[in-house]
This record gives sequence, C-alpha cells and structure tokens, in this order.
Amino acid sequence: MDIESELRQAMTDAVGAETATPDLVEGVWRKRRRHRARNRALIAAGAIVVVAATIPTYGALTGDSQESVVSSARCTPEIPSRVLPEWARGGFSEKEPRMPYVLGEHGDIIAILFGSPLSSPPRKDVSNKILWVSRPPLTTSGPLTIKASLPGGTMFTTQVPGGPGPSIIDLPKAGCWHLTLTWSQHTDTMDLLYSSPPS
Amino acid sequence: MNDDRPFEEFVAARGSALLRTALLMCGGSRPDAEDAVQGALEKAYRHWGRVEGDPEPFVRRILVNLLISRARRWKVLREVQMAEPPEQSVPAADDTVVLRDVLIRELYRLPPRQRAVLVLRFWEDLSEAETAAVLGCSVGTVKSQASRGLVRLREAHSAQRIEGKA
Repeated sequence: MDIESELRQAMTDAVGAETATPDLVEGVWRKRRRHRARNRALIAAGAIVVVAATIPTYGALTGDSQESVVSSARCTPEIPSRVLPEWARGGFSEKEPRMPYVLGEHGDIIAILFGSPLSSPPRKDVSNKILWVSRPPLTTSGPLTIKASLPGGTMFTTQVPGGPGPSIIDLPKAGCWHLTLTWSQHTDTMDLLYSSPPS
Repeated sequence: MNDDRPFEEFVAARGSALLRTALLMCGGSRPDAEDAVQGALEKAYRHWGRVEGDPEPFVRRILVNLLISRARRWKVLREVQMAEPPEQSVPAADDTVVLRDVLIRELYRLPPRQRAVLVLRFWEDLSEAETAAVLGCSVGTVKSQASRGLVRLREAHSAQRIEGKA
C-alpha cells in the first residue's frame, strides 16, 4: 500500500469512529453569549475611557493614576485577553495577539497566561502554563527565580531553568500570591491569583 | 419560526465530520477539538445569513485557520509539554496497527500548516486547488507542503518497518 493510502487508513482508524456530542450546538450558544458579554464589556470600557478623557483634571482631583488603575486589576478572578505589548509578541503569528497577561510592577516582565484562570491545585484539563517574557534583553543565561508569598506568610520558591520562557507554575495554595521575580540581573514583582478549581 | 433552525440542522448533520477534522488537526485532543469546532461555528454563525449555498466549505475554512493559528500560538509551550515523561509503549496487536500508529503520531508532529494540507488532501479528499482555497495559499504551496509532509511520514514509516524487522 502506498503512503497516501496508509495515511488515509491510519486517519480512519484514529478518528473514524468519533462523533460529536449531542450538545455541540449548546456549546456554540455558550460561546456566543460569552462573545456578546465581552463585546458589551468592551463598549462599556470604551465609554469610560471617553468620559475620562473629556475630564482632564480627573486624575488630579481623585489622586488616581494609571498605576492605581493597574493595581485595582490585580488578583481579579478573570483576567481579560488584551493585545500584548509589542516587546512580548515574539513567537506569536498574529500581528496583534490577544492573551490574558499580567505585567510586572516595573514593567520589566510579563506573565502571559495560557492556563487562565490559574488554579491550585491545578485543574485536570488545563495546566498552569505561563510564558514569561523579559522586556530588557537578557545578559546572562541563569534561571528565572520566583519567590512567591501569601499574605498569611506562606512562602514558595521555584525556578524556570534558562530564564524567562515557557513554564508550568503550580503554587501550593489558592490565594492572591505576591511574586518577586529575579532573572538576568533584573528584579520585578507582580500579584497572581490562583483560584480553587470548581469541585 | 426559529431563525436558528438551518444553523442547528447544519451542526447536527456536519458536527461529527468537523470534529474528526479538528481531532486530526489538533493532535487527537478531544477537548481542544470540540472547543475549536464550537469556536469556528460561533464565528460562522455571525455571518450565517450571508452564506450562499453549502455552508460547509465556509465553516471548514474558519475551523482550519483557527486551528493553525492556535497551534502556532501554543508552539511556544510545546517544549514544556514534551518534557513530560513519555508514555509507556504497549505491545501492539500487529505490525500494521503499529505502522499506522507511527503515521498518526508523525502527522501530529508536523508543522500546523503542513498537517492541515495532509488532512485536507487525504482525509477531506479535497483537490489541491480546493485545499489552496481553504488555506488561502497557492496550489504550488499546497504541492510543496504535501510533498514535504509525506516525505516525513514515509521516513517514519520506513524507520518503524526496519525497527520491527530487527
């Protein structure tokens, strides 16, 4: 048998008996509802931006700054997908890739969350995959060291060999973890929420 | 009258076929395949009223391109997944089953676009021109991608045959 025929047969053996679940269309409607909700949220966020932009003294009057807006988004249960900063787009095929991400407080490192929401203990179907990208160029090839702490005092340290890059970061407890990240003579911090997976 | 009825009938009739294509495209992971099919159908639904004739080529084009895009996005994490311990090999029923298993595993290792070409050509039985239309590339690209993909499968197949005889 030639390779094309062998391949056809192999594909039939592998998936020929698979059938879609009867609630496939329900899954489509669920996605549709999420898409609409996301669009509504984007429109609402856009409206807020427009209103804020028309009140130039808003920040001065309230003492708010862009940093405090970022801070308020920390450890929120759902981190929305947003266009990645330009320096963090290496390896993505899209021109403006959208992913859930958290930026370090100094803006020197980004955690791109492939396994969002992060869970402790990890979920069975999705692992806690995080892609770390450093904004400053790497000068040494050491690991990325992550020192994580919870407000109650729980500490946990782990490393990503080779420095910022793909990783699976499982933390021992659910909660709002404060991370101190050290790599290639740089340090930054960020907060990451690990939720308990639904039982 | 339910306006969604034609869409729901299409999903009921063609959902399994789309799922099989998605499974081959995304390395056999059923949760990923189902999610991709639902995502493609949701995108297609937004334009359903404007689709003329058979909607399947339209949906398939969305599905295949969505899967290629996802595969590339996840590529950055592939080395982590490969760092997991390899599965234990199990004794196979016969040589033919082993050889076909080798072909499927090698198919899953091909670059996403090359894999898409082989799935569309040899699973969906699309012509080179139809495959090029789905992927938005030239017929020449389809030919070269198919040729390269088949070379890799042939090499894996031959290596397994030699190993089986040794």
